[in-house]
Amino acid sequence: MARDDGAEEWVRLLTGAGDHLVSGPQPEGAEPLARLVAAMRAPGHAPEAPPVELVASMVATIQRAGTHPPAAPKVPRWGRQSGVARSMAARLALAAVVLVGGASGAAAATGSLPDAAQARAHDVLSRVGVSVPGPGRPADAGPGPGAPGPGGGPSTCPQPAPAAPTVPGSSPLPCGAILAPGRAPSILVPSGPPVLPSVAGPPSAAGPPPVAGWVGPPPSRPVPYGPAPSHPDGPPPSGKPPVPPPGGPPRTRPGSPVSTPPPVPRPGRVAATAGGAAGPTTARGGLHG
Amino acid sequence: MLTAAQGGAPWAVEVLYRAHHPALLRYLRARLPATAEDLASQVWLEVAGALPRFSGDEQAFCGFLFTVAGRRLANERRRMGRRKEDSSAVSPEPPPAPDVESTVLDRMDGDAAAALVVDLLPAAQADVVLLRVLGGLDVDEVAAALGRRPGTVRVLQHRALKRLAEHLGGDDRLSDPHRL
Repeated sequence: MARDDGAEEWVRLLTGAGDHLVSGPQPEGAEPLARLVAAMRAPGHAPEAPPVELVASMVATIQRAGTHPPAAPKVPRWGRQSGVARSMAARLALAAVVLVGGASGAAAATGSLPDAAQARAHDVLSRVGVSVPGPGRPADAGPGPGAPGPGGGPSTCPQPAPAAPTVPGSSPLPCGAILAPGRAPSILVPSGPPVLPSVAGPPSAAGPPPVAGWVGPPPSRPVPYGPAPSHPDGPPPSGKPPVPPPGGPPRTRPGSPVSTPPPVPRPGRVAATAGGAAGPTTARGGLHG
Repeated sequence: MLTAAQGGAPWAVEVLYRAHHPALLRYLRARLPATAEDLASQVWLEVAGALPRFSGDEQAFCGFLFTVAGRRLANERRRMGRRKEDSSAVSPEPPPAPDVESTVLDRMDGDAAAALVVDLLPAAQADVVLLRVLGGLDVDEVAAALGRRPGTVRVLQHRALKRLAEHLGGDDRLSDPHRL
């Protein structure tokens, strides 16, 4: 028990009871430690005089700090708002977002948005499977271009606009049709080598000018409505089906040269079609023999 | 006197300096002998800047002074990038205790005693002992000055006492952890 008491007293050495160890009974190992602590606590040689410069600096610092207390850190205005106010502001902002979003969605669903906004909404929402009418199309006008076609499958070709030119007795334009001014849409039919358009020669006053009605092998991939051949009166290369002017079918001016460059087939495709319907060209040489 | 010093009275500032500077300088010399004087001046100027806002008695002021000193010391050691603990990690074995401890301890002055503590103990333990003995800080104040938890400070203090006892006294009971 005495050993434990001595150890306990020794532990108190650094808690302010170090001097008592020297005077009272102490364990054997605590005595040098008590001397060490006493030596550490012994008053050192007091400085003869504190440095005048340091004291002057301290006094100046004290007076400066006393007259000019440090400014409180600036708190942003919103930081001083109470939690209730911040919560209310957040709720109001959320309500405004919901209100605006809902109104915009409703307007888009009914086709009431401006054309540009409606087209944008149509593009965006159709990607996520939401049917939204396109621009200039009422909400109940039927399925859009991405709707399934008559055969049940999805239509790979966008249907022309209602104002598109139609030939009496003909079906809607198939894919790959190229509209030429003043002529009915020609369909690409594989009937031999491609016929280059004839642009030489004087324009005939009796008939329409030679038009690039390229008749060639069917392309191996569907030809979309791409930019139509450039023509002074032709449809603009906007990727949309040609829309005739309101007055009727497009008219061509007699004698106006037609510079409709045909699509130049690639060499490999020409070689494949020159030998007849031999099938697609593959890298494994399916056309050989 | 402390109130007068807070008001900027030069005589009171000088009295404060005379009363606490020796222990402060001893503490700083034990840790960083090369820059102890400069550090002490920086500590005094920092304390003077905060003195008008200080509230407490003289003992509390002593704790405040050594707290500032401890932080300055830590910053200085961090700036120098070289700590005493690293050197002790390179040579884990403490230096041998002097053979004539009893006679040396009797004639040892404060600076030598503090230097001996620093030599015998790792840096963290030496910090605790110096702040407890020289600064008169309690465990919570030491913890605040060193940025440690009070429990950690108590553990460091316990290990420091054991280690000092092993090297100074050679008492087997004090080196037995189950006894303490």
